[in-house]
Amino acid sequence: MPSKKEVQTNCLTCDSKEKGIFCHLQESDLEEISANKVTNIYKKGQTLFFQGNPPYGLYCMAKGKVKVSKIGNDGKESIVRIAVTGDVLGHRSLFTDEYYTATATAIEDSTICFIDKKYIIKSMKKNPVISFNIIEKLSRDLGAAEKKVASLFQKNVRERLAELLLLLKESYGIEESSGRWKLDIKLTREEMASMIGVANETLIRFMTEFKDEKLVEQEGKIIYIIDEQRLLEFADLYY
Amino acid sequence: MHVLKYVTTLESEISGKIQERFPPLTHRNAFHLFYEGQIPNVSYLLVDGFIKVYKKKKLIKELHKGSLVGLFELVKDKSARYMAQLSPKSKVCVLERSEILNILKNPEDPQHEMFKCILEDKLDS
Repeated sequence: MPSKKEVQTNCLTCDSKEKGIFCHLQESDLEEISANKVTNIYKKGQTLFFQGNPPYGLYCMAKGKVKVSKIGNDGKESIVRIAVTGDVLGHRSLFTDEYYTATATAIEDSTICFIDKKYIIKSMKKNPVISFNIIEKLSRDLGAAEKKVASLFQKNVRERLAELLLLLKESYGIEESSGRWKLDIKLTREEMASMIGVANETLIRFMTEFKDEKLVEQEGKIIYIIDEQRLLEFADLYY
Repeated sequence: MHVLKYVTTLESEISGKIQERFPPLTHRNAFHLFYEGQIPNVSYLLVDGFIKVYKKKKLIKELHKGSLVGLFELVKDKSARYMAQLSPKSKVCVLERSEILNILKNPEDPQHEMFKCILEDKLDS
């Protein structure tokens, strides 16, 4: 495990600076934030925060991927979203004083900065631009949640799976020279099934159909999108 | 160096003063406060319940009421040499980095001397 000195710690030179909530701040403010935050590497499978526990602060994703999931009374996990570089986590619970309603777990080794609640509230009062950026993130989250609810109610499994694959392509897609899109994210079948609200077996059946129809290919856990146009038609999305 | 060198057990009077400033929070579920090799995000004072301490995934100690963990590492930017896991339904006070740094920077703060002593005690040991 690298020491703090080896981990990216300065907000001024952070890879996610342009995507995060502090991107509009002046250098002196960024230096102050750097002095008050803690940066850590979370290994794959390690937990940032746990459903049912009180929030202490805000997590900023400098690098990596983190899944945010809810565990139901039956013990089943459903993935709410996947946070990537530049995203923030724990912001909703921070302002409602509610306990965390979801658990955040690294799905690959991730560099994450933590800023405590008292400091972030103080910074928001001093720099309203931070508040605006957090409101923007919250609005986007709300939009995504509304879209997901609508999708669950209005679309069939085939349409939902096509939509999920396209959304994953938007965030993690890497175009290869052959023209196919590699989804640079390793999700288990259970995780993918939970994201579209179906049983594991149902997901496997529809993925097999998609492969037979040459819409996607799979090599191990890596999925490739072959025919984006037809997936768009299935998903009924308007880009 | 001893793994638990920076864990402090506070007297109830000092623990009480910290609780006045940092009210205890109940944690319904078990939770990794920090993993081995990480800098704790905040420092924790255990008020009720217990904290299990692991080194290389092996349980080495259970900490009880009055234990203060992560303070030295948080202030000095040092990686913890152990993993700390909070048991379900435990109560801890959460000591934020920004607040601790403010206390240490401000000699007028009523808790300045107390925190300075806690940290210096660990530096000297």
